Amino acid sequence: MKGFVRRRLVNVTFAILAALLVVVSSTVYVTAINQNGFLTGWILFGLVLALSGYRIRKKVSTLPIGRASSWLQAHVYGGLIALFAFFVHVGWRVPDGVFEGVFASVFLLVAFSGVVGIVINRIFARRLTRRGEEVIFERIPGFMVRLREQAEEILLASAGETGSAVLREFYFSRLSSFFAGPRNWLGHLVSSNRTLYKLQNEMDSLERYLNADDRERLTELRYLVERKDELDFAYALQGAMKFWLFIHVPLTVALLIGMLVHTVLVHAFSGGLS
Amino acid sequence: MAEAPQRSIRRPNRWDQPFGPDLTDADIERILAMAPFDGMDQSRFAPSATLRDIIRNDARLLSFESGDLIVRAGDHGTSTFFVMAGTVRVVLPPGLPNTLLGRAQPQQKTVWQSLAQVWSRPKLPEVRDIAKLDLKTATDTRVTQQGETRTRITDIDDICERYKTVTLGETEMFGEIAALTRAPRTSTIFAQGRVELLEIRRPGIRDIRNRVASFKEHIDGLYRQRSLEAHLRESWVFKHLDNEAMSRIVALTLFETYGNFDWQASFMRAAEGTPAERLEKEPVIAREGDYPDGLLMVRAGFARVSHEYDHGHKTTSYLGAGAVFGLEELLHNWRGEGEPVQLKNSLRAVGYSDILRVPTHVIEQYVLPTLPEHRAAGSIKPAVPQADSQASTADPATSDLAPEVVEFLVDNRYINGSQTMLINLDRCVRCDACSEACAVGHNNNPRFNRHGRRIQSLMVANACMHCLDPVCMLGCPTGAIHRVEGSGEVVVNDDTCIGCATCANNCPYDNIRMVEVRDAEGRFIFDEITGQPVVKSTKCDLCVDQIGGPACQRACPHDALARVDLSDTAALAKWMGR
Repeated sequence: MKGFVRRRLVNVTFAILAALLVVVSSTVYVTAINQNGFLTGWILFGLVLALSGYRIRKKVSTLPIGRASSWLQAHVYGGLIALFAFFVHVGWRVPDGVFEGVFASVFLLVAFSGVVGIVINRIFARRLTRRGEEVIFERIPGFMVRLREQAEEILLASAGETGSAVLREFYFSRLSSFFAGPRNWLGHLVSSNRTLYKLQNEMDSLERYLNADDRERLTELRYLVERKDELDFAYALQGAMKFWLFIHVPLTVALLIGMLVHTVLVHAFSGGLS
Repeated sequence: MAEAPQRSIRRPNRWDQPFGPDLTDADIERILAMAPFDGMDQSRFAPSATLRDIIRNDARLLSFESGDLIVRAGDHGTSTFFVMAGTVRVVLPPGLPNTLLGRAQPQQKTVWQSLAQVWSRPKLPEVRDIAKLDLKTATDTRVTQQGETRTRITDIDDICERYKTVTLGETEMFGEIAALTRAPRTSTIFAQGRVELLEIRRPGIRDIRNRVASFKEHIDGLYRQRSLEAHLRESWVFKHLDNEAMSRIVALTLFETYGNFDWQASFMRAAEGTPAERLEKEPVIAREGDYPDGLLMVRAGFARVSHEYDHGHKTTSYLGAGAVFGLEELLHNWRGEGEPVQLKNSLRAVGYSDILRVPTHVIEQYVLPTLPEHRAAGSIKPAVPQADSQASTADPATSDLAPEVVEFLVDNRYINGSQTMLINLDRCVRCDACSEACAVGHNNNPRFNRHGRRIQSLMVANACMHCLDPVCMLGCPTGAIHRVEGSGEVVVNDDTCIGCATCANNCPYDNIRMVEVRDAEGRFIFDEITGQPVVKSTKCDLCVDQIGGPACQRACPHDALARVDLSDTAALAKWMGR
């Protein structure tokens, strides 16, 4: 059995056992003490705190406190157990109070963004690899500027030598905005080539109006458009792999604050054991 | 259509770049009149490469002042020295401390220091403590009029008193074994008084050895006496033999060298062209279909194992130091089961290879009858090689690697890496946690680029591979780049690096970067004499001073990055097949 498959099997088994433990302990607790939610609440509290520890591990990368990959595995499966414990905690119903509703929504959004993040990472990393040579994310805007400058040089050369209105108009109506910055973000995420295909078609249809020199320039522009599309693709996918954390992490902070408030409120109004 | 005019260039010749500034005729006469050259029969040399030519082009005269270090123990060098005038001192083991040799023994950080790196590192890149850069040590570096850098030990009387040393005088030779075997220098040698030395680079020494029987006998005798048995015992084939059998094998083993010793200089050129053209440039050590006339053991360098495959050659594995070739065929023929077989694969030198050839009759007499049962019981496939058959002599694990991966690793010489940074791009989410962790451990300066050549979903990142054959260490004038004693990481001592870029220019993988350094306020630091910015060599040090080992590997949340010893093909195959 391959290493990752074995690891996944072990982790899933562990998560299922942990989930069962949550159910059993909660049932025993409720039966013995007749106070619903306290045990699962504190389990959730502990789990969310522990899950937040992953962020700290990432910051102190030089300390020998285990590999980040082991921490991530614990984070992912701990998150799934926390999600299950959450449903047990709320009694598999939709919360009815305003605070409860908002708080539960934040929790679910954190969990959902985490799951989406994992899926995005798994799929987009492979798609980027299949596309071949790629550029480091932070350098993409610089490369885009360079492509725009090259495109403008081609246009200026055309204006100076042949004065072609066709190329100029096409550039200003269609290409200047395309070269201005990252484009077709959503399209690339869902594997759509529509923007590129449309631009290529439009450029094909221009050829008949151009002389030999400008046809050559159009070919060069077509090449730059394709390069820009490559950069857009890399920007969209690499961006998405970073962007989901900007939802997941701030929401986690909100969740931690809400969790503290919720714990104080619950204990303040619980009135002791029944 | 008119044919494009043919482009032609003058073919580069061996001596286009002589070793040193031109020696005068008087110098050459003086050298030839001295031992051991005066006793060499010059008629034994080819007219195209006479002894005089070799001296003129492969040798240079060097002068040293008292206390100047000539070679350091642990350095890698490719030349041999003859004392022309004066005397030198050889420091016997255990040798001089690292601080006297321009090296530093890395101190591991404490837990608190490791943690403090998170907030205490400078905001600007390449900040240095200027007081530390100015530090005067027990050694003193200067540049000669010829532009050579010399490091001097300031108190040689004290050294001679405290450490065991021996003296070498005029006409004596040193450094020949390290030069011919590419092994690290075993002793530190410094000048005692004013010394004139003749330094001959390896191709010259190799030619002299090949032409002068007495010289060959002398060098081979030294090698047999000092190193050969240890080298043979590196392989499991010889490890179990008793001393008597070993001494017979040592006496009958032949030494051979293939390829270009300075392969790093022509590496990029060699990488050009089609796979067939590249293969053509690699000297054949043993050819598929030939009679197996001995067991071949790679003593240094690397070799490619391949066999004919349709109209090309398929590389099935690669061999590094200590690996053997041809054992399976020898074993089969010795057992006499079925028809005798010829070599099933070819062996070619990648860059260069030093080969030990143990003749068949010696192997049959001393090795095969004593092979451990589990080794001798390996499956033998005597049939004519099939197009898709694997290398018979290869590590079985190599067969788990896709052929294109093996070809890629060999063609790009990545097989040299003992701690190569591999990234599985299917798992890497481009989060740069590896770079950030590296920066945290190195004062905010990542010491690698998450970028490099790719094959399928595998990327070999631009990070120091801590090579088995560390060509970056050749020619460092101050000994700043060195292996850490014991653990073997290749590191640069920032305090003694003079920024000459010899190491960066030697590294064929572009994994060493020269950087201009700043003070704590972010201002560039300048040399007070030349007015030029102070430059330092920087590279991955494998987090040698961090308590947890390489931070890049530990920081990767997706198990996408690993530091892999590419000579361990089983580990590589396992990592790739997870």
